[in-house]
Amino acid sequence: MLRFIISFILFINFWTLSAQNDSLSVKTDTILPHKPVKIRFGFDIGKFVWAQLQDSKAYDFYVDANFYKDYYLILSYGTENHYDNNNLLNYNTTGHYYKLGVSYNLYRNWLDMNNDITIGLHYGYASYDYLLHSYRINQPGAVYTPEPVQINKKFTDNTSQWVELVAQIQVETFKHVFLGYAIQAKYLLHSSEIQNFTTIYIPGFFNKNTYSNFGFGMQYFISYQFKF
Amino acid sequence: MNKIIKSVIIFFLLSTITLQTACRKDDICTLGGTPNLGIGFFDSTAPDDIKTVTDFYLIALPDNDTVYKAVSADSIKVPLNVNDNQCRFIFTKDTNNDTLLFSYGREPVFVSKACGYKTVFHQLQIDLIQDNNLWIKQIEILQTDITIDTINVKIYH
Repeated sequence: MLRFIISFILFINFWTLSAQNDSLSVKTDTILPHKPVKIRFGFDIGKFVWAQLQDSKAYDFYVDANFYKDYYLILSYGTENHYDNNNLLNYNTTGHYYKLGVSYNLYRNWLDMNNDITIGLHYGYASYDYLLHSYRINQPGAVYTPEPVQINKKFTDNTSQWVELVAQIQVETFKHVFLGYAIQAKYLLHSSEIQNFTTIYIPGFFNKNTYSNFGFGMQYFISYQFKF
Repeated sequence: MNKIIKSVIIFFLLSTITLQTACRKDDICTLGGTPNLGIGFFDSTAPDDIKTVTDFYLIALPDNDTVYKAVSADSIKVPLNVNDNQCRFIFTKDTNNDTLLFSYGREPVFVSKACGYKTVFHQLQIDLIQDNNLWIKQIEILQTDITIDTINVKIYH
């Protein structure tokens, strides 16, 4: 519900701005001001909070630079310790990931406003380990109920690579401070084969679907912009 | 304005993909778990002929859990104990109890995210505990490795 409210507010913000854009025609100044290089540092709040609620930890930082016209260069780094416990498997995923990509701003600002709606293509790389604490044998129709088997087995040095199509809104709510929302459609390119286990959770990618290489993501973040 | 419409369309498209992916459940195990031991009942006088058991009970020891209760069957599925390398079952035909001891090695095999691990069994041995009145005449093990649900063992009676 909270997600919905936040995204709704962001949408409303954006619509109000676009309405103003229509009602006024602004003549551009003939003397162009110096266009500063804008660099933004962001933190994924949604992921951080969500992880806390699930006995996990996740930190996702990113930096974007408005290097040319409406193009942004984006680099992000994240680290995760994800805990999962279902009836059959009890494990932790620990690892980190990088994402690199370019986004394009589709939104024309009114006057000196500083909001953007971007679409972009990002590449992701993750390196991670699994620690399987215990498992319970799957036996349909068991009469001797399977007991959990403690093994504390590590499956190390796994890597994954993927690409994601990202749509993102960033709104300057206070001076230099942005609130943002992004959704991502992801496609897994490659993942390590694991002996007698499988790729279940990938840091930065989220759960891997057994039958498909597609994934999705959502982010709520806060960022601060520096101008040089 | 045109670009705004475009971006809204992109958002809707991405949201649709998102929902599609989110709703595709791969949390349901469809690939199966631990195989059961399949036992077929055959005629001891004509070994190729299937012979149905009547008023058949299958009881797991030591807790006396009932697996089959008063059934007529020409084959049964026995869920072996995955916590131990052996287990005992009472096979009852027409109130005549015979006890079988199953011994085996176990190997955990990963199936999938939703199915987790299953056990496959190796080097199956079956001992018929002797008593005065056995209805089971002979036991033949077809496969000592139990990896899939099939008839692994023939019981002649």
